[in-house]
Amino acid sequence: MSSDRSRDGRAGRTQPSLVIQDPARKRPCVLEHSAARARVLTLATDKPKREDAVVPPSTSAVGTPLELFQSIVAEAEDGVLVLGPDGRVSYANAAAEFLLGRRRAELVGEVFEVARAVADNTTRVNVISRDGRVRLAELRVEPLPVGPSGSMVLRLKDITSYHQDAARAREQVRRRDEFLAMLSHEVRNPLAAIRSAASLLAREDIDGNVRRRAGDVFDRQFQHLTHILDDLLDVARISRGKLEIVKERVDLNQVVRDAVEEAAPLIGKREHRLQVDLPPRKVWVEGDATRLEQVVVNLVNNAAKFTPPQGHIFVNVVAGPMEVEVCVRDDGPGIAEDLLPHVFEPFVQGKQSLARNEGGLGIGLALVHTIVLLHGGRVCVGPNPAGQGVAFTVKLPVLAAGAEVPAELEPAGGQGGGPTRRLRLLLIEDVADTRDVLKQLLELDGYEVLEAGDGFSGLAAILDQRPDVALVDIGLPGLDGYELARQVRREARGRDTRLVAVTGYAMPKDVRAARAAGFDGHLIKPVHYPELMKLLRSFEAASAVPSQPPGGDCPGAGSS
Amino acid sequence: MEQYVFTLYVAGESDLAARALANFDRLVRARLRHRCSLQTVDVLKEPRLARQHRVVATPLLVRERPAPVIKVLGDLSQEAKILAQLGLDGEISGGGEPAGPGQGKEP
Repeated sequence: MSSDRSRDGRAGRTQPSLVIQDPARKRPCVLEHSAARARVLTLATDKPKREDAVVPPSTSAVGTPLELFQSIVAEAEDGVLVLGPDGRVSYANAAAEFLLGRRRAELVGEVFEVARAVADNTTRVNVISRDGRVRLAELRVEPLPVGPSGSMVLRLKDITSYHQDAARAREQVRRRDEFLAMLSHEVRNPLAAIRSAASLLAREDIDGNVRRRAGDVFDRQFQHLTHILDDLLDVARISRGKLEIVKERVDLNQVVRDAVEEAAPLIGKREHRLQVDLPPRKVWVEGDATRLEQVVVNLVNNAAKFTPPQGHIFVNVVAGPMEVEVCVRDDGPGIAEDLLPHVFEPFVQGKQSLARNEGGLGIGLALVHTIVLLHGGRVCVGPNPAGQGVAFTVKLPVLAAGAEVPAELEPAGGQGGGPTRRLRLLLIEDVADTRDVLKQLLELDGYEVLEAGDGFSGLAAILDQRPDVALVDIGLPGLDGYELARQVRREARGRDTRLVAVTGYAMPKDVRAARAAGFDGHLIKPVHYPELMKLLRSFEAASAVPSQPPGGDCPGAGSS
Repeated sequence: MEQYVFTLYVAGESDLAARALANFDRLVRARLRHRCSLQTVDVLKEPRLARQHRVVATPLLVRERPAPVIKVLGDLSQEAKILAQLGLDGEISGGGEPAGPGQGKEP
């Protein structure tokens, strides 16, 4: 029987921590303290009298068991209140003061009837803490085995953040799942189109018109896939904090013009009317032109997605003395108020089927937000002040109108339409399909094309055959592209060949690394053919070598 | 017939507060129907009332009448205990009609 054990009050005093675990806590919170239960509590605790406390030498250093208990819990993270047999608070630790938002003087001596009001020995309650927050706390009521009989101890454990964290984690998982579903949907569509176009092209009974249209399909879907991939990479960079921008003097007007041009296809497709208002003077900001363009493109695309056909989209730039504002507005259906605070979080999308139809991964605005922050600016969203729809406003710090023109580092583009000198090209690329197709395209355009499938044979081909231009994949087996370039540049025979790096990464540091290794140009993989043409033509124009006879007719076939 | 008067102290629109209200309707109102009245006090909006009535934690349901005053803390989800605490375990849900939550109890 517990009575035997507990009758010896010393047990309770000398080993208070043991007795705290008394089985009596099984159902300590009772509406009426029945006589029987009260007796159990009495038995479990004894009656240490105040004057007792000083007597036993073993415990005199810390005082009575009750005092010992209180000194133990004084610094506890959980709030602890001790209630005397009359229900009055006799002690409150610092955490309890904080969690209940009341000072000790407001707690001690008061009766709150909490112990009698709980239906279970663990009850969740809201408390208003000293910082004014409503917190969720777990309240436990147990008999206190030390101190006067009938004493109770009340513990408050703050579980607010645990709950918020759990809710946040669940939300993140849900969004990620949604995102993955979205992603597979997004990728599947272009793949289906590409597959059909490929089947079409494989037939022999099609005319040039059909073939051209199939080619267009490839082109479009391809761009689409590339875009998705870029977005994904950006999201990965954002989440790893690796999004990099290289700041230089940029004319924001030009950025907006370029962005509008890039966004034009989607706007045209839905017959939106786009109105762009730019200040007459250049607006200089310090930033990364490509990234800033991405900001405007994403905002305009976003507006286009959510605005029904023939709606209006407005882009205007207002330059103030300190800040410049880029505002993108539309007269679409707007964004639900509860969604507004979340639109800049990744993977958040409105439920409108319109947006779903247009696709997108729900990361465009997250990118906007991050890029703008990296530029020391801010972006906000609200209802369109001019009526229905949404207005996104980007604010960036402006640079004083100092030096006239930013240093132009790019080689002058060769748009001169002089006679084309047929260059001898070398493709160093380990993926045979990629190499083969590019070779055929280039040969169709009259170039003589050599091939190499890895770094070492590429190096040998450059030194032995001395092509005018070598397109070098960076991720080559054997010898990587950077090392290849370094070795080529070390040889006298390798000085004349122009080296173009082809990489999947277009970060400024990649471009710098390529230049440092000895490359003359840089293309992003997958190579955009018109871009390659532009680059080749610029080489042709730049090389003052007089036009020489074409390097042989183009043989149509020739694969690796 | 006895008239029951309740006050429910809540802190804003927390989950607990919402659950307490729903449970009150389910457990208490379903039994007492027109014999009960409930007043809700938001301690965020009326901190003075909260202090005056020594409310340190919510949701707190107070049976003001009939005497004695009974207080129940928490979201009222512990059905049997709540009913016993409030002295309503004798009341039949659904205002005396056999229907109600007990409907599906047939083995």
